[in-house]
Amino acid sequence: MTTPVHNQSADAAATALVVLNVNHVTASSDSRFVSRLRASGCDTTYFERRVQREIVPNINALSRSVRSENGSVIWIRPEWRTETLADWPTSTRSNMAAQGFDTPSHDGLHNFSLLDGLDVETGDHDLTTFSPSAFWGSPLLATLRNLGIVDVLIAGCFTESAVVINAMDSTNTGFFTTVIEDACTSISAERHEESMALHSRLFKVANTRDVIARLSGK
Amino acid sequence: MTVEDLDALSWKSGEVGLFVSDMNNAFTERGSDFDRGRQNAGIDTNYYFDRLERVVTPAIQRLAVAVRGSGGPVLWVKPLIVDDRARDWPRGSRATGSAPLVPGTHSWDLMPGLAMDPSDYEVPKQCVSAFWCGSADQILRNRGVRHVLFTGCLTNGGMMVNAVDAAMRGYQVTVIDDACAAFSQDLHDAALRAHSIYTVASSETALAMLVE
Repeated sequence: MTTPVHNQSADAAATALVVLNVNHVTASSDSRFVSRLRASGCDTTYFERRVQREIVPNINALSRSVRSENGSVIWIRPEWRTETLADWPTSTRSNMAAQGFDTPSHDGLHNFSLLDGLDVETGDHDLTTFSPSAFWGSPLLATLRNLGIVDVLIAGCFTESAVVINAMDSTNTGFFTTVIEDACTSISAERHEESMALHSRLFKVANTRDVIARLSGK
Repeated sequence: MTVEDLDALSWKSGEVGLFVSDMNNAFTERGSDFDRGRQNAGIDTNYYFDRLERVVTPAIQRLAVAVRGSGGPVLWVKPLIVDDRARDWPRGSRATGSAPLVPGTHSWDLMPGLAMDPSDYEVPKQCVSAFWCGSADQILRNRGVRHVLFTGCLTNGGMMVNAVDAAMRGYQVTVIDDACAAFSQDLHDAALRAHSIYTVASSETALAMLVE
């Protein structure tokens, strides 16, 4: 699944870790999204365990490594202020509402906060997106260009939606893009793996250990 | 896809646009560098070219006539690679194998069976997405398009990437199943079900909705 990690830029400070949607509204065991899945008979054990045992620790390890090399850590959280998701792209609304994303999520609400256990530090960037693509729905592209970023590392959830969409946009806007396979998740292992297999020719795929080794070796 | 689902989309005169992805000879001709590259990778390319010639091309041509007739724009999207090392494409993209690819060459021309109308748009792109690196969004938005039909190749490449980008920009998106092709039916099917933000329909269904 993973592809070799190449030295993309000469400067590790030109690396940004972009963490997508690891906040309560999407990734918490008590979110409306997960609760609705559970109520419909879906086994959410894989997702809940993967978030706690792999995603959070791996994102913390990656963010420490990126910061230690003077790179940038950018936390992306989705925001909507209407129950009908009227501030999100038309084609996303019905599916999102059906999945339980049908109450507002924004600054000041518990569901908007990042998951417990994630290490956010002063100097990290915190952006809000109004689209699955933070390149389109937030100032992410301007932030990356202003920071002089060359390499973009993508982590978070969900693999088959925000992760691959932002990775495609990152490639198309000129960044060397690597999806960190063990720092991303979907609801099931099958969906995660199918999506990675389908999209992996559009960007690079690597694991946390190899990326940290590459960063520290630069 | 039910009629009710499709009824929720805009099919009004002038509000439907057709996006045709990468249907130029560089990617649709047997014996091209593109074909040989896949064959060298051990891929049997006959499925892909058979589908393009027998299924995809007639479907796109019918849709183009219908969309024009409804007052909507038809966009023929083609990768433009001027530099022979593809340095005008994003770092990390895999355009090198197709470079150069420029107007006035056989590789640039549409495959046999497809024809542009003078009212159509030829849309060069300088990355996989004609929304990030071409004028697709400007043309569609200026023309008042709300709903875009996606066709072309590859289902799991240029077509899928652009369909997602259109959805991100607020368009209603329908992917036309029999007007797209990948190197296998499995890859094609996987790309059709990969993103819930687009609807999937047959060309026959789309044509019926356009006529209504």
